[in-house]
Amino acid sequence: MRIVETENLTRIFGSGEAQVTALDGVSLHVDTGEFVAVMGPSGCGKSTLLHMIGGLDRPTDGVVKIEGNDLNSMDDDDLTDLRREHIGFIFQFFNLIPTLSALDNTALPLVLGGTKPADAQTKAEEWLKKLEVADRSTHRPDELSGGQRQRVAIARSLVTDPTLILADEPTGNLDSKATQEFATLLRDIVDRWERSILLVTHDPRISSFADRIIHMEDGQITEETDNNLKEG
Amino acid sequence: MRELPLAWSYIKGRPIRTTMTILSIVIGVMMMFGLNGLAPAFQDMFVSSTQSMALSNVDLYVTRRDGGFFRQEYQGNVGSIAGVEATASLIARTVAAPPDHYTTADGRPINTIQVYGVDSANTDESFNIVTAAGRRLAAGRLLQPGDGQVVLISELFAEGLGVSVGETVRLPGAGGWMNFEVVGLLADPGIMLGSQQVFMPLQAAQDLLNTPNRVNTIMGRFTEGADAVAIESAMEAMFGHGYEYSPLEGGSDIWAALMEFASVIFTMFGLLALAMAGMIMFNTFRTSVVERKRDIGMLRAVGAKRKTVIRAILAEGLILAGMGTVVGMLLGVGFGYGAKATLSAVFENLMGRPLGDPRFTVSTFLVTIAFGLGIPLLSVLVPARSASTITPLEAMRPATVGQEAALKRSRLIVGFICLVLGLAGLLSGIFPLMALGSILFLLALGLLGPMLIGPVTKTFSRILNLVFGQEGGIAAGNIARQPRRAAITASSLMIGLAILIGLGGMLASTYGGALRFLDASFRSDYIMMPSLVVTNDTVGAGPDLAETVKRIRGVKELTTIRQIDISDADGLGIRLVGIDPLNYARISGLSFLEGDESAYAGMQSGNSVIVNGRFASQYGTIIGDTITLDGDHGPVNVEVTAIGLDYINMKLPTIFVEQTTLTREYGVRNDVFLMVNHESGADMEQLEEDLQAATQNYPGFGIISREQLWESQKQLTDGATVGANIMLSLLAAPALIGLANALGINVIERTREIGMLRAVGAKRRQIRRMVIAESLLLCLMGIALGVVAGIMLSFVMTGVLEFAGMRIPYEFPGMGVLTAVAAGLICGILAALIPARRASDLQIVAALAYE
Repeated sequence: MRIVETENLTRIFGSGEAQVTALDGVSLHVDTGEFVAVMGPSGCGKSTLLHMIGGLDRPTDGVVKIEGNDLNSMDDDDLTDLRREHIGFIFQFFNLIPTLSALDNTALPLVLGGTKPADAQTKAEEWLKKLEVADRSTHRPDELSGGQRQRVAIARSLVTDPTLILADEPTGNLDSKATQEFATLLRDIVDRWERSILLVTHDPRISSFADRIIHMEDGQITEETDNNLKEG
Repeated sequence: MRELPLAWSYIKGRPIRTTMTILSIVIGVMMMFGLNGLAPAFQDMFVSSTQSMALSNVDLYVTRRDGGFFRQEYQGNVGSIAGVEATASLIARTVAAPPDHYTTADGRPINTIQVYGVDSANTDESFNIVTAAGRRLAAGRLLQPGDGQVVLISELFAEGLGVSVGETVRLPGAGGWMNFEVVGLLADPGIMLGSQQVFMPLQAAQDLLNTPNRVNTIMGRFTEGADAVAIESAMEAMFGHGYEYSPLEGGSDIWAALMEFASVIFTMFGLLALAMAGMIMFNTFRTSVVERKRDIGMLRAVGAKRKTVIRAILAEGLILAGMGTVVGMLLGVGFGYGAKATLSAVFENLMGRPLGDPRFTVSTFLVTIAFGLGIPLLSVLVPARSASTITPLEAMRPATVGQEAALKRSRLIVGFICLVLGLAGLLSGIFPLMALGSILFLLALGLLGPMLIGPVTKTFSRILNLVFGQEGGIAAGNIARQPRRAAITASSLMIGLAILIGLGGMLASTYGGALRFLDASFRSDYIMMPSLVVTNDTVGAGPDLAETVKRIRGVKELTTIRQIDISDADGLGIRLVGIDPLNYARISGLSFLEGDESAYAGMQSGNSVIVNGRFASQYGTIIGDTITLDGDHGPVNVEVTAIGLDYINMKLPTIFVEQTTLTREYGVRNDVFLMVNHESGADMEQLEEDLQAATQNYPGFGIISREQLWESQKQLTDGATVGANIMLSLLAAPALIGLANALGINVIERTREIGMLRAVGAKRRQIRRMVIAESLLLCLMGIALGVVAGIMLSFVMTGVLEFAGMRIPYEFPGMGVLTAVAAGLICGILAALIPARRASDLQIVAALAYE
């Protein structure tokens, strides 16, 4: 099943002489249980693509569909609900709230969606356990290592059981050991929990764990490579 | 300064924050400048007996410090001092004109008349004040020896009256209206339009004012080469402390003290507002430094020295402070004129004199500029220093909003010491210590505030969670991560609310108490008086009025009151009130704090007096003490037999003496109050009409019933409350700005966090609620601390009144607390409106990319 589908996606910033075309008619898809990496030089439009797919920004032209739902037809509240319930985000700078514990950070999307705090915490606890950081659940972000913070960020992205994970340069702030662990973890998410991942990165070490690599340049897809990682 | 362009670029880049910060300074400066500009106008209004007497050849003016009269024969004593060549006597006295009686030709009111009684037999030109100070004769003639009831007036006055030379004018005096023949017109330079000068022979002035053989100024000219210091010493030996010997400053002791007090209060209001502005600046700049950590690190990396960084931040503070001070002073001028327009009518009613235009003296300018620039700059100093410690490495790290470091131990220790000393001071019962105690108490709350943030947040966040759900929890977390900033933000609100409750409590106690006290101590059915505010300038009524009233059908009994303001050895004003003890006791009476009514009988002998609470507190007087009065015939020793209060004089140190003693020793012959009781069954309408008719000949005298007096005092207290509330709301404004500023900064600082919250599923509404919850939480802290501090302050302030002799039972400022809570919550919501909107409108992608 197609989790993500874009058609002729275009995003233009500015106007007149200052006009910049960040995305230029991009069409792609991500299937259920597929791990796709988008690579390309800085400014090629890969982060903009991620923002469009995540409903964080609206395209100038073209269509984005998540699980068949056209994002263009949704208002701000609908998009927010979609992000909270169907999409998990992982950011480069982790973006954890410094005053909340790892557990509370993880539970945040559930709580924002109206789940009772106790239920939200139980669910968050489960994910922290799965990601092997349950022993740090009462710690605040400044008391965690970079790798641990990223695991908490992953737990937060999975806590609402989304079908799609979007990750924007998630290893930008990690050392090579943590990057390796993180890449393995993402692979696990796809293989064990059947989530789809769309990841934007520069890092070939992490893209090698993806099923498919999309190369971009000047806002356009230039090449697609299949890593043939799936069994059978 | 090379740093100015950089500073300016930051200021330009943040227009909203800049405006808010400047606005906070503007309010403080405006209040300080505007109110202090009014102070000279107040002073002008009160100090009036000394104008237009510039005589170049006069070396000496002998006046009583209090402006009162003394025996004319002292002129001979002054003349006998070695080195004094010539002397002259003079009366210079301002008389309140009956309302709406005199106007200029174009209808502008003349409210006061400066009566000059000149010794026309004295032909020494040195003492000719009639044509001094630019005055010249325009028509008729000058005064001559042997003149009787004649007068010189200005052309302007004559025009308004419609009289010319040879015609008659009526002037108000102690014996009622008196007619004077106009012998000359003066081309007056028109110093004060609302106050006209009239010149008459000394004897005529004494008749008009009912002060036979008494004057209030002796002028002297020295022989050439005379030893002025020796002459002054001889004067001191002759007259004692109650007199002054050179400058013409008499008559203003009590008002000068009041003005000084008012000026301190005005400055305090401005300072409080500026202190809040300082806190806002401190908060803004501290945050701004954190926010610019990477910029500053980059500057350091590319070669900026530490002092360059400090200078750049200070330059920014200076620009903001400069802009705020200039705008504040400009608005202050408007504020001064606005306040004048509002207050003038009140004062004209109360004092019979208009309030002049605000005047901005050099010292007002200097003080305002010093505080307007100084306080903000001092506030910026700490953030500037901390900015200079940022290393070039910071430029390489991502900017995040972290947890504040733990509070320093030293701060806690100092805070606790301030708290203990503050409480000790507050409970000491000694006024200066109580004042110091209240400052230390507020300081302690400021220092220890951050410590309270945790528990207070915890308490209130539970309540907020009920209303705001998880947004309340996130808001509480945001506050808890920066307790110091939260404490400073809450502190500015705390100070505003504490003052609101403190003053509110004091006003409630004072006014409530005063009105109850009025009920208790003012028992006569009618009071006849020129004004409730009676000073040495008030021309009372001679004994004829009382005699006339006594004969009116329906009048059962009456008692009269005379008074004079004198000064003690330190120049502090004391009021002597002459009563007819037994009649007074029956018709009106004092409220006794110590001793009892038997004291009245003792006063009949003239050897004993009653003092009021204010006097007893100021001089530590107890029953049995002896007071020495500096009378006309030498010192008079009187014994204090009771301490009691009356309504009119409760704010001034007062001695109640037997009336004939006052007449004998101070020459006071005029009644300033007549208290009248009617017979039961009297025809009230007729009685009031007759009483009114009796005052016809006594300009300025009016009649008021006990009920009317109560009502008028009620209106006065209500008016004062409104005035105080306006002032207080101005103080609340910086708190509101500070809060909005802090919230605005919080939003900017947490832009990326807000972006993340939106990305992971927070709706715009939820973000708005989070910011509002944060604001309300800060307000609740400010309210909690402000209510505690305010109740304490109101207790102290009411205690201070007791210290000042106004023993008033403390009234819990229930309304003040409710108002403060409501004002605080409204502040919280108003302050959050813009930041909340800003936060919810953030574009997620831009917010996530924010650095």
